[in-house]
Amino acid sequence: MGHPPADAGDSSRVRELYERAVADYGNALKRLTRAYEADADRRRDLLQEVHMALWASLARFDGRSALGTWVYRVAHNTATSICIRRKSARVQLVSLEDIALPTASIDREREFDERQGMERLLDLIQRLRPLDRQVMLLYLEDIDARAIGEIVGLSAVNVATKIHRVKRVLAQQFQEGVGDE
Amino acid sequence: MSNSGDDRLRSAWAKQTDQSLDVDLANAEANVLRRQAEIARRDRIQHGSVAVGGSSWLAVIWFLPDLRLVSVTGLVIAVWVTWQMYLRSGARLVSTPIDLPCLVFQRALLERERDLASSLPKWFLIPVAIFQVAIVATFATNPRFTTSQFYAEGLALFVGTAVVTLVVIWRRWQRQAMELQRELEAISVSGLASSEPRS
Repeated sequence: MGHPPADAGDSSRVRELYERAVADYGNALKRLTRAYEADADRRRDLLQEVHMALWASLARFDGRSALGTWVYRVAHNTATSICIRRKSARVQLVSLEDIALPTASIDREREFDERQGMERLLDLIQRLRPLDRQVMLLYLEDIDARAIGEIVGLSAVNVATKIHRVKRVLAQQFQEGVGDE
Repeated sequence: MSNSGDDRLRSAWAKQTDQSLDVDLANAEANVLRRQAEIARRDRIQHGSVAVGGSSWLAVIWFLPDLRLVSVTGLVIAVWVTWQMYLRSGARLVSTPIDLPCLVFQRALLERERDLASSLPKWFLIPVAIFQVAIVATFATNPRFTTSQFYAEGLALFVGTAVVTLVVIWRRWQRQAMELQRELEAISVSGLASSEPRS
């Protein structure tokens, strides 16, 4: 996406905002790229693209929304634009409403293996359509429903519906590992 | 899933680390500038390739006057298609700020891709078909080709291949336009999509 470059006067402000954004959301951005790209090289490229887009966009940040909202919007939109343009990555995607994955093969007595669990979770997220993927990722990042609505552009009611569905899918997938004990 | 299950999953999610993706904050601006320089370099290489290709084509026009019909038509159509691709490319989409709510942004992207696919016959297929006609006209009238032993077979093979290729491209892009339209409808159902940017 092309944006007008920041003039010299904005440079230090942009840098300050960018440093704040990376300090507060840098790890979340890494997790986000993991959820969009399974391939390590592509993931690295995507993270670079996200940081570039973030830097370029911050000259227009006017403080009307929270910095976190801005960062998540830019990151998800950058990742989604790559996903939409790459047709092969788009055609296999499913919605939360359509997802129905088997859980019976997993031993309920087995202790929850975090690494294996995260791999399964990432695999699940990478199969979701952009909107559902965004809601699930923001939910996992512990963002509240109001902020999720602001980031993705959904009404509170629709966010609540989506989150309810996210919880059901996560329960279906991970109850044997992380449920009541 | 219970709240404790939720919390544990989110805690595990937050603990994910990938040191290989660390961003060097001290050099953030330099990294961005370096990436922009890489993009500028790639653009310069592309422009250089166009310059070399264009001048070679002009040389053909000049030194092979009996092929001027096809070479001039080809050059004009190549310039037209390249210009149209540039106009319709993502790089020119300055009207969709990247900080829009994700759903609004996604819809804008899908609409752009759909319009690109559905308008393909107008800006790509018709000009390319005209170029094929110019090639066939040259084949049919130029003694370089008409005296060839395999003239008829060559001409038939070319026409057949060109028609099949154009039809396949047209059908593929039409399918893509329909898929994109379905995706647009999917994100608009049940009043999910808000039409106005929220900030």
